[in-house]
Amino acid sequence: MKRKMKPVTVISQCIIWIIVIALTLSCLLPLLNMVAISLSGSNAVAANEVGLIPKDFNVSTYQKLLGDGQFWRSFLISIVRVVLGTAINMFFTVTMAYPLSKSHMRFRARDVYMKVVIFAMLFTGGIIPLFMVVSRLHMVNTIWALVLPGAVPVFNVILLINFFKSVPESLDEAARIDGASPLDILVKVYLPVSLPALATVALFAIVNHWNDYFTGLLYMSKADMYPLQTYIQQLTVDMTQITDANQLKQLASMNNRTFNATKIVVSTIPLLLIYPFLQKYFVSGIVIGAVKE
Amino acid sequence: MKAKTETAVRRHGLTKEEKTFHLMLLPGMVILFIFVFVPLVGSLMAFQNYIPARGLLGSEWIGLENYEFIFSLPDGRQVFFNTLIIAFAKLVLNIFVPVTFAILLNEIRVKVFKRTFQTIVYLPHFLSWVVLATVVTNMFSLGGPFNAVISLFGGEPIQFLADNRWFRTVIVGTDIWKEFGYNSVVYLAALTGIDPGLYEAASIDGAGRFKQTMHITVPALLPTVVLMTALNLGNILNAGFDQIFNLYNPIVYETADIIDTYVYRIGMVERQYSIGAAVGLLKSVISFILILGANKTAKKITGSGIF
Amino acid sequence: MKRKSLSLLLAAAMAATMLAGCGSKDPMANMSDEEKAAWEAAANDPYGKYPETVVYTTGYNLTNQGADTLAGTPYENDTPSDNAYTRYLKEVLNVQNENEFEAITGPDYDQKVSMAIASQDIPDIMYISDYGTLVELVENDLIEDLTDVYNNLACETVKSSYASYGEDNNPLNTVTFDGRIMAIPKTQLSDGQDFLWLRKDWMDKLELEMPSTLDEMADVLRAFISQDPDGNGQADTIGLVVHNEVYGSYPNNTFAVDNIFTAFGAYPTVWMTDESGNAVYGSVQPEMKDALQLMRDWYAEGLLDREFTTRTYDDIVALLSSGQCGAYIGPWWSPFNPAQTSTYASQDAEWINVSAPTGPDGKINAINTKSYGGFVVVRKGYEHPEIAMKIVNVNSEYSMQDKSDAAKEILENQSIAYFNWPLYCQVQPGNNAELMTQHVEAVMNGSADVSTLSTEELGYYESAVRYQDAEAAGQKADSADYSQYVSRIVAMNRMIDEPASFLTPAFFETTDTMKTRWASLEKIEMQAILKIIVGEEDLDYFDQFVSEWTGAGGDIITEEVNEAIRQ
Repeated sequence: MKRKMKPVTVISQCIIWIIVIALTLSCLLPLLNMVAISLSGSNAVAANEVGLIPKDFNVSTYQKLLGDGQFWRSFLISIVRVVLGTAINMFFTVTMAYPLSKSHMRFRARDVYMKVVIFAMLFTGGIIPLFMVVSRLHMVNTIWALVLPGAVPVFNVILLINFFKSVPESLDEAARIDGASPLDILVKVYLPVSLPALATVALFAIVNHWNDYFTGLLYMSKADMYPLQTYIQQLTVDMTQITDANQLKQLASMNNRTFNATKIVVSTIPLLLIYPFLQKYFVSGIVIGAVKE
Repeated sequence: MKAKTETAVRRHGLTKEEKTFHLMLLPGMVILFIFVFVPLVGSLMAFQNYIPARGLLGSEWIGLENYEFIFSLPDGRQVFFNTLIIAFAKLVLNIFVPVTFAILLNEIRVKVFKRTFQTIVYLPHFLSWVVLATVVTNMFSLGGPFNAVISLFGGEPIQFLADNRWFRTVIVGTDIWKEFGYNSVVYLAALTGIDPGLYEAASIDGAGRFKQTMHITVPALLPTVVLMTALNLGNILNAGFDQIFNLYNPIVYETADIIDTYVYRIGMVERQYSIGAAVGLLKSVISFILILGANKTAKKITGSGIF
Repeated sequence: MKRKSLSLLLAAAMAATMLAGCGSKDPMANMSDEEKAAWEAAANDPYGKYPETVVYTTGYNLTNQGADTLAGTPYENDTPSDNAYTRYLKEVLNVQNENEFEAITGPDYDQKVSMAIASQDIPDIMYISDYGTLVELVENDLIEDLTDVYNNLACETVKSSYASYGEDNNPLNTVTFDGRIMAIPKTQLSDGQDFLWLRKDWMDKLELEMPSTLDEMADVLRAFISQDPDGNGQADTIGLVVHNEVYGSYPNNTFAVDNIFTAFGAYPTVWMTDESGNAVYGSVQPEMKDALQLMRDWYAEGLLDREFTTRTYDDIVALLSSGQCGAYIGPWWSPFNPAQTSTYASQDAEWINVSAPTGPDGKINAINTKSYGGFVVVRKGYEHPEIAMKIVNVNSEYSMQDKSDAAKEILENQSIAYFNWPLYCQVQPGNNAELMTQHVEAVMNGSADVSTLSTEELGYYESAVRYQDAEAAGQKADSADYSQYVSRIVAMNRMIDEPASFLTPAFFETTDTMKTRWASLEKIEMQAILKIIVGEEDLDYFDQFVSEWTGAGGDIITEEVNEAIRQ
């Protein structure tokens, strides 16, 4: 922020602003459209008549969604999952990234571990064997099924390794000469200077847990144990075969575009709310320099 | 003195620090063992005609038959090529655009706007392709804005999503649009690591903004760019099932059909666990080789690997 | 140490079996003769009520909830193990479900079934949706033979319903392996023929005749695109909307145009019998060429939606809802589609179903669907296999005739559409929808009394009356009543009065080579068909497609299909 503005840069600043605003608008308009759709009457939506302003304004889909007890049960499950899951993810991300950020001179087994980790990122045994492992461990229908199988987010570990590597060796060296243990160094030296990176991987972990509907579907055998995204995604109507009267009735409400839009708006809001708290760590730009000195 | 003890111990066993490191890695390795390596036994399905009721042990072993089948598919080459070209374009642009955006955004120094812009562009990531499909088809329809611009300049209207010359471009473009904001987060975080002192020094030396960007910002981002490229190589055979599945139609199969959509359609006839496992395993092996290869190349060129 | 844990495990297992023994395993052992007789009697009576509640484990099919939930209804505290259906079954049979898994009908539920099978842990009784799974369970000896259960206990409705599909198409044929009935098949209602649905208000305005032949249909479409039926002064009307899966899965694929093909005697995607008695694949027969010629011409002229290849389902609905299009092909229940309900409410649209396009004999050529949907199976070794049959009896017959409050509760639940019968299996005669319409009409024209209606029919009757009252009073009826009336009375009457000629496919299932090659063949087919229609390829490209199709495994599969039919 101490950078000075030179007159030559005014023009380039203008260009930058125009580009960034254009890109931002391109992202904003579909979102506003989504909000408008969620607040419109279903006939207007079905006829593609809704732009950025709701038509036949009503909040019935919100009432339906939020008025359902299961919505809030699932919401709570998702909150618990995000908190617990992210905490676990962060624990493993940090404890694994730190040793692996050391050179193989200092930690000779490092390269072997690294291969194992990359291997684990790319290979999967498929859902049936994974389900059987989880079920043998009696974790089906528990919160653990949602947070433990993905407890080590390898992608995030590798990201953090990279950030740790960029921390100047001198900081580490100084602490070691003072006789600090590796754990001390990690907590007192590395973590404070890595806040932007930690915020980034935490964001990824939160988003992953919040958005994942599939594991909920796989490991929860009862609908009342679904996390929010699982619950929400199975509210859609997919009518491939009409075999009984029930389905005809549902067909009448089949144009679910208003409802789908509402689902997206409602399920995105929590992420929008927590975002600024993490964002301040990677959008400000002065945090780290201050700490480093 | 310290160095001396270290070399001394190195011959005989673990240093104290190494012991701590092993201990720190232990819990994570246990998790990976249980939830990744144990289920990996399931990949053996790739060499079986797996039938759930018989289980992995009871199902018939058929060797490489699944692979023979995959490679004998008449349109296998086309599907593989489509996957590769779409995934590659996405890989490159999904790094280039977010990096550029992060640099541009970094130039905006009014904090409120910077944050607001950044928050807005991060949101499309949360829209699913099922929902976006309608938006995209309307944008690219004959009556949509793109064709309006074309006819403004007197061009012939184009059915973008039904045209084999355009489909992949639309797919890549809309994917970049959806993800660039979210993908830029990691570069923004990397930008915070740049010492502001460097800019000050440069500006005292008389370097303009552009020069500063090219000589300070870009080099500072380079390690992250290289890392993300290498990590994304793991996705070189994933061209984005959800997106393509929701936007394609038979007329553009020849440019749009990718491995995942193809395997999906095979599974629609009757669930084919073994074919799915065989394709999955093949994809993993290729990705693994690519990533390790990239790492080795980087080591040769720069002296230090990516990971 | 290993031994210790093993013995512990054994002890635990024994304790578990003993506990189970006390509860249900062998209830006969400590019983008086009287009690035994009561259990026996219950087990051997189609509607026998057990002396004590029998708990069976199952997988629960939830219906798609759509935008409707139970919130705000008297049933908001219902759960998949305690709802109108389960309470009713408990009252009638004294059986209670314990759900090992619950999921929405469709892929979600099917996946749970696969997981249960893969972990060798299937529930006592469950519904499975596909034939492949049934074969797998039978071949691996995981399910109980239900022959005796069926012969002893199936109620009249179930038996006559199965029989109503005719000897060749009897759903029981599908579940019979080596002469043994291995599952209870759910019936698949026949949806009859597809119709051409037209905006009657537009027809009247442009003074058009109701079409019947392809030429007449083309005239109507031509008028729709050229004479500004919506009166907005712009030539912005679309002729006929077409799904980009042009045909197939008859007749459930709304907006597909199978009827145009069948009018030429072409039956795409259908395995049909040729003159020499062999099964052949409809999509590669020469009649297809005539149909494609017409589709090409119509597309070139603009009678078909120019952008049909890229439209999503929602896009098509939007075209109809916004009044940009007034013609589509769809089944009798189309009035439930939002395209109709929204235009009825907002634009005074009047939709009518027309028997067009017709073949040379003046009738629509239609295709019979397969007679079975899913299957109810019983775990091998379950001690009360008869419960499966008894529940299906209640679903299909008892509850239909019951006028008690409990049965009414079920009807109410149907309109909320969240829970299903715990076993998702109702057995109905193929022409059930027609029969119901006839019953309702009889009451409406006074020739029968309201009391003759079943609970379900009563609901339709009341809807129809509400619709007529509203229209008579010059008001708009509730959209649900509109849908019920126009589909169940108007459309269904045309189906009864103007019967179609039906072709029964020779084969419905998959063969071995199909499992791996079919996706490839389908791709070749759909690519070729679409390209020919939009003019990217010449009509003669069809011949190239046929030879490609044959060479890519079509010939082997045709051979296999004939083999399977002979068996």
